[in-house]
Amino acid sequence: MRTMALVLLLPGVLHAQELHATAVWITFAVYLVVLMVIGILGEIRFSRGYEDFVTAGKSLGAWVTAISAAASAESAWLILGLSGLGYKLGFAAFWVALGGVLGYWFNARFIMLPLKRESDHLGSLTLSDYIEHKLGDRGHLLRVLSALVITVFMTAYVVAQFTGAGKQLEGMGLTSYTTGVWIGAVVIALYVLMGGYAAVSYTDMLQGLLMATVLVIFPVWGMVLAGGPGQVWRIAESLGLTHLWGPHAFALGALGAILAEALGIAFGYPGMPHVVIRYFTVRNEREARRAAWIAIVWSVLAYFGAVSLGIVARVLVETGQMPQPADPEKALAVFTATFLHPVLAGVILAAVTAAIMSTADSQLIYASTTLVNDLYLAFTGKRMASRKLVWTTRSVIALLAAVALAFALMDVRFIYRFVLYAWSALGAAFSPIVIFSLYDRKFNRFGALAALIAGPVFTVLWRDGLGRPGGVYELFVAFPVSLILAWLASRVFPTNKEDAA
Amino acid sequence: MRDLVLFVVFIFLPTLLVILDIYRFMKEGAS
Repeated sequence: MRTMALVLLLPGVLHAQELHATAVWITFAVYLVVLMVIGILGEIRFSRGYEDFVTAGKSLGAWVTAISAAASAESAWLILGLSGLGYKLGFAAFWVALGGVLGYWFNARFIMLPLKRESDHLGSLTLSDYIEHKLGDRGHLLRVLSALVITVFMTAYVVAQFTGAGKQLEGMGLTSYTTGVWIGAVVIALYVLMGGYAAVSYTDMLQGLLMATVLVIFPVWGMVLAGGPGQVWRIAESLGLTHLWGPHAFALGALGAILAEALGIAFGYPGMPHVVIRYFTVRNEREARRAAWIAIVWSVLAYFGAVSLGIVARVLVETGQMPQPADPEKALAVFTATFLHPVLAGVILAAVTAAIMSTADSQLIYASTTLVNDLYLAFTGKRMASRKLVWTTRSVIALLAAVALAFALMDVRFIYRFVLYAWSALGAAFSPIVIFSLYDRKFNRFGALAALIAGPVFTVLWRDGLGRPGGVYELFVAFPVSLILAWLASRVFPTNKEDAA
Repeated sequence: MRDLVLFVVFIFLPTLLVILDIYRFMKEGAS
């Protein structure tokens, strides 16, 4: 999500000067080899036909569906940003954790299963496909507009991910920025090119499992180091960190902004194209329900673990066992450098770097599929052999990766503006469409058009036009506005029921 | 003590309810 904004602001979060560079390199290389092996397995199993390549034959099981969706949505913001918030605010940061978990709950309970049923019924391969089929938009306007919104914001995201990879590897003292960008881009592009959507999903599952493992083990271990839960509580209480409304000096208004941000993040989940595509590709309803359960457990462990890690790190600083991080978001890095053996620290640092890199894969495959499936095929009306379509999609993946690589190497600042908007613009544009298309019988293509325009426009207006009043996150405003306009537009311009699918 | 009670009421219990709700949702599909 806002991972890249965070990473771009924090070059060198994971300083590894005190770590053994060789150990870091070896563990990092092992991780990259595993990614490539997954790519090769994907090539063998899922690259014969077009549907296999872009949806893994709609055959994914519960574990890979749940955890790859979660990992694509979260990435490094969760590990670095939320643990930093726990460090800074203490228990008040649990509100953000609750907001995140509620977002997962809403998706699992109300979106996953109906979207799976509808996309199967309509034969949709992408979100733009689904919108057009469901709303009977024969003029292709929604397809074009949604595909454009997705391509612009996701390609910009990929650029930022490559940039993030370069800055991380540079920050860890392993390579120059340029080499880091090349490594990130080439490795990601290779396994996506080989294994397509299946490779993306399985590598994301691996990444999600690593993230959850770190976020469960570290806080528990930190608590043991600090002298047990009772001792942690006493010290945290003396620091004012146990107040649910924030530490002593923390203003209520600022807490309101954090709550708005937590809910704002949650509003984005139902419409995030590269996340909800996982609901299209789950094998059957039984697996979808199991995926809902796995996703909710993952989100509780990861979100609450991240906040707890921040709080425990703060206590360890107070007891003098750990040096004070220069920035709260460096709490994990300092914890790692202080308490872990260099080899193990290498594993953790490499995993975090890989987590930043591999968010790009979901966006790369999704943007490429959108260009080929939703624009090229829909407009040329061409019928291609399935095998040829796989190669066309691969060419677009290579092209987009090359464009993103060029932008990342040139460090084009203009691109980053799109990244700052991305989660909010995509969430405000697509969440109302997904929700209403499933639950509002009167919802039609005019409503969808209103959301597609209002989402990105109000995101930019709130952030740049009005300067983000009160520090309130733009999706908290753009989502309800887009929701209301979509609802109104469907009623002001009603269409015949027969028009819709 | 007051902080602990507030945490349980506003954070822990809602989270527990969410987990139980999704567990029931999963079991519905299995039966």
